Amino acid sequence: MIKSIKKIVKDFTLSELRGGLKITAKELINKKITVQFPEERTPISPRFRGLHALRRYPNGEERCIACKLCEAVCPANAITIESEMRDDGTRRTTQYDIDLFKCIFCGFCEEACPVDAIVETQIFEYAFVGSRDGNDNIKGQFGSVITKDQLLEVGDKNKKMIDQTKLEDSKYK
Amino acid sequence: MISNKAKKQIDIWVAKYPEGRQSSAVMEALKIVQAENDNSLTTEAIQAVADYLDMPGIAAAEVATFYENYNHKPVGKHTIRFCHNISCMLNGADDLIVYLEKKLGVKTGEVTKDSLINVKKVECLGACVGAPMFQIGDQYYENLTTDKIDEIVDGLRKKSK
Amino acid sequence: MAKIEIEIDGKLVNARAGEMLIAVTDRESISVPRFCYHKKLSISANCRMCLVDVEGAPKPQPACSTPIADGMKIHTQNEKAKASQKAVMEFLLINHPLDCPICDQGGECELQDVAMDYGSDVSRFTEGKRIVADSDIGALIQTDMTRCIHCTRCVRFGAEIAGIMEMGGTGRGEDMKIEPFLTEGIQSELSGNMIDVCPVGALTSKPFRYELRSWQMNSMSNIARHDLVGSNIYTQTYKGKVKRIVARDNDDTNETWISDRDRFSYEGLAHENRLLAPQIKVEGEWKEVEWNVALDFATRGLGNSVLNNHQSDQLGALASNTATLEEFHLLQKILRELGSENIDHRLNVKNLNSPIALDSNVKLVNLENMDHALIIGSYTRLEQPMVNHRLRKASLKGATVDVINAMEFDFNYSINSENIIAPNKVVATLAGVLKVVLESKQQELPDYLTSVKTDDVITELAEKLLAEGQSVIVLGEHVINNDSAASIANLITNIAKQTKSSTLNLSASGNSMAANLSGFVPGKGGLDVNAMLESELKAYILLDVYPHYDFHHSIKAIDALNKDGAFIISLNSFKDKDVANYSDVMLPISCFYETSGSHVNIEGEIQSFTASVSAPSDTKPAWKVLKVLADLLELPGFHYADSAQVTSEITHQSHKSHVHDENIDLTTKQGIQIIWQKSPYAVDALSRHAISLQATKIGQMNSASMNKATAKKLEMTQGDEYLGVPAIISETVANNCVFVNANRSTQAGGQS
Repeated sequence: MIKSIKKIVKDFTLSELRGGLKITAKELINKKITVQFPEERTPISPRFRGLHALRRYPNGEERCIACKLCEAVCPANAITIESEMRDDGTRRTTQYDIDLFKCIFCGFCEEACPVDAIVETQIFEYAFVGSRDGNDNIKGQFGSVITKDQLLEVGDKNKKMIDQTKLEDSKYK
Repeated sequence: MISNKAKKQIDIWVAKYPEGRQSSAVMEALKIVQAENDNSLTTEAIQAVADYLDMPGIAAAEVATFYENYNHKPVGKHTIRFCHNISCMLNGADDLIVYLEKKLGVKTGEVTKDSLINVKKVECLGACVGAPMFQIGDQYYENLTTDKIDEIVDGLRKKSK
Repeated sequence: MAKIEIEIDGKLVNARAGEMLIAVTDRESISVPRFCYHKKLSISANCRMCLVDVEGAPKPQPACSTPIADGMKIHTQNEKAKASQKAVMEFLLINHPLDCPICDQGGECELQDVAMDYGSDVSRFTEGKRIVADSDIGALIQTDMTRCIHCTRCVRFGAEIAGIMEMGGTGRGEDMKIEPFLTEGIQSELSGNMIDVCPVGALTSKPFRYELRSWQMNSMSNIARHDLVGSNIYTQTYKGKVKRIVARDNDDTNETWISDRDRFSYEGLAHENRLLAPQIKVEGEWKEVEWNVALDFATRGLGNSVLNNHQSDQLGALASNTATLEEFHLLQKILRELGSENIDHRLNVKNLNSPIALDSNVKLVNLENMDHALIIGSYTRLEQPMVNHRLRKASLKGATVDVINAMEFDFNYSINSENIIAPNKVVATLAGVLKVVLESKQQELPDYLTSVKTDDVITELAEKLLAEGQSVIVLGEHVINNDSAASIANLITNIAKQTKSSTLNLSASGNSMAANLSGFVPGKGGLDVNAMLESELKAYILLDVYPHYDFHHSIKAIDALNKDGAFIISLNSFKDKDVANYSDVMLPISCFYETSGSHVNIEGEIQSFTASVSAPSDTKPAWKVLKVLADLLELPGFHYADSAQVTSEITHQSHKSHVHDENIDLTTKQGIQIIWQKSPYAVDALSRHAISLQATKIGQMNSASMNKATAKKLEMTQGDEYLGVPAIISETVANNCVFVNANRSTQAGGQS
């Protein structure tokens, strides 16, 4: 009995409609959250795991020492490394490929790296050109398998961003 | 490499051990050969001793590098063997070694220009009661101070003149 | 030894009195961490990692050097034991660098494993770590002595197993270093085992440096075929390539050790000189073709040259001693099915008029228990390293060793009497020994012995064999250069029979025992290799033959094979100039570790193995090639699905007993005698192509040694080329004798 009276009152006072319109009215006044990508961007966590990069030391020497721990830890078997002794007697990679189709962006490689060489950057808007090995005619692009040189290039180009994000995150490690 | 005289001396020591155990005489043999070669042992000298005693060269080298009383670089007429173990260290041996180095103008392990003195840091010589101390030849000098070091070193220099 | 009962971690365990505690825990699979203890080396107890708590003892005791006693109560896991192990670990890690990511031992490192269990995650040590300068110790072993934890396993290995103490601990306290004395590099033929015994990354494999991590490779059991032992190994492979070889324990053959030849020869597999595609010769030009074309060409060639004319006795088959049991069997079966008995593998034997017939009738394990050994014509240390290791063990236990050689060699145990005589005097010496033996037994002398002279040396040699205890007579490889080889073998058989000695025939190496087992020798009416080459056959099938190295009369052999009109099918795994010259078809076959098959060792033990990697490129296992060839020739009885079926066919067939005459001929040629040996790392094509092995001192052995008097007769001086090999004048060689160790193809080979 009481239930049906309540319903009649609700229906005739349009309370539900007004409730809905209240949100509309509030959002009319509130600041808008639409972002005009790519001109505008939302903030990204320093822990964001995007495209990979290989880093260098300040003196220009590549960090990677071919320990293959990233290859071992990778749950998707996306990393392929070949190594040998470089002429100066140091242990270096001759091949460092990441299959970005296989990669699940878990960040384990970054965790495993003893020299902070492989990192995942905040870059997420990228495209593969051509097939697996890329298209030589389009400069600066890579195929679904990103090679050592390309990874180093990503690292060089985005050095500032990588250094910044790693610094921000270092407190929590 | 080894003179006949030295060989005879070594043979005396070899005779003290059972047959086939001639390598037991390696310490004395090294000592004899060292005395013959300006008080230091070269690689060749160690190898010669090893060959004479029919043992591997490395085994003789192990002995020669283990004990402080074998030298592997040219030494002076007098070797100051400065103890730097715990008792001497607590009584200021480290400072005195620096003082001595300064006075002689050489670092430990080096020989003075006149080939008279070299300094060697050694492990405990068993004279903790008189720490800090050093040894020259067979003589112990205990309770060292800077003054005492001056006196001893000047004495050595005077004697050589 | 008396049986006693002890208690370990609350569990009652049976043991023998006097055993070391760690031996008991190992047997019971109770884990006790250790670095310096190694079951085959002496106990030094210097790492202190194996400390355990023994009830009643005031301090923890090292398990490796604590002999057990009845009623002992031991705790390996209690607080006291754990605390002391942790403390030791902390001390060890004070100076050990944290460079595991670039260390080749990473992933298979004993220190790393134990540190996971006992190490602390934070170091309390803030002072500087010690750094040790490395010295280059040769082409096989890479040193990183900063990583060394001074367990001295390598030092003890050198002194106790290899028999040359090369590494040692110099200096004292913090300055202590493990290093060789002279920086000439490690010389031992067993040096690679130091890599295996090193618990850390201080000694690692140089050819393997920085290539792969241990977890990337697959380990496959295999057998090394370079010598008569057939050492058990693991081939570690990655992406279809053999990347490293390590020893596999087998106390009956190689214990835990393998020779450097077995360990490092794999490098040759990736050599650019591999023969990778079938080739046929058309009008003098080599053409790469498909397998079916090549095999078709081969069968047609055989048909045209011999089969169609019913001249199958004009067909011959030769094989080097590297082939597997199955390959020997199939090739001889093809020949015999075709009606030819011209089959031989004894390419390097000088005189085949009567064969060297001497049975080996001693187990490798029993060699250690010998009281006396007589070695004739062998530098066992380099030629048969694992046999030599057993002889060394016997010598250390007190056995006397006599040697009859043409040159003084550097044995790694003490020799009782070293008799340096020219090869043509060996037969007389042995006849003398037999005479003394027979006389002492008051037996009648056969006619040929009546005029034999004896002297003190010979009498002493005989007396040693006659003395109480077990003795063994070892006939080595040098005898193949001897005109009287067969008589020597027969004399040894007689001496052994009279003195109840064992015999060991090391005169043919590699897989020669398999060749004998499969009957890869001329049958009734068949020609031996020397006769085949002389009678200029019309067709040959050659299995992995490299004429400059494999034939005794290499120049003669090459000439004979190059004669016009002979149709030659060569199955090779490596390219060779001379093979290309005389062959009409070259079929690429897979090499060691790329094929399944069997090795027969000196005990007659058949050790089968499977392929560790697939054959590269267009090469095929030789047994498959031979099977298909037989099918194309429409021969019956070649329906094999795998090589194991071939093996079982061999093991089920009744063994043919080879007839040989027991004739003994004491006449010898005068003049200068040559002993022509391939240097130890040039025995087969694979080791010849292993670059690191070739870079070692042993690999570079290439000399013709002779004494001054002989040199004068030959008008030679030091450094002159003798048959293409540099001469060395040395008084260690017997008069009128030249001892050659050649490691490259020479103009003459073993011509004499």
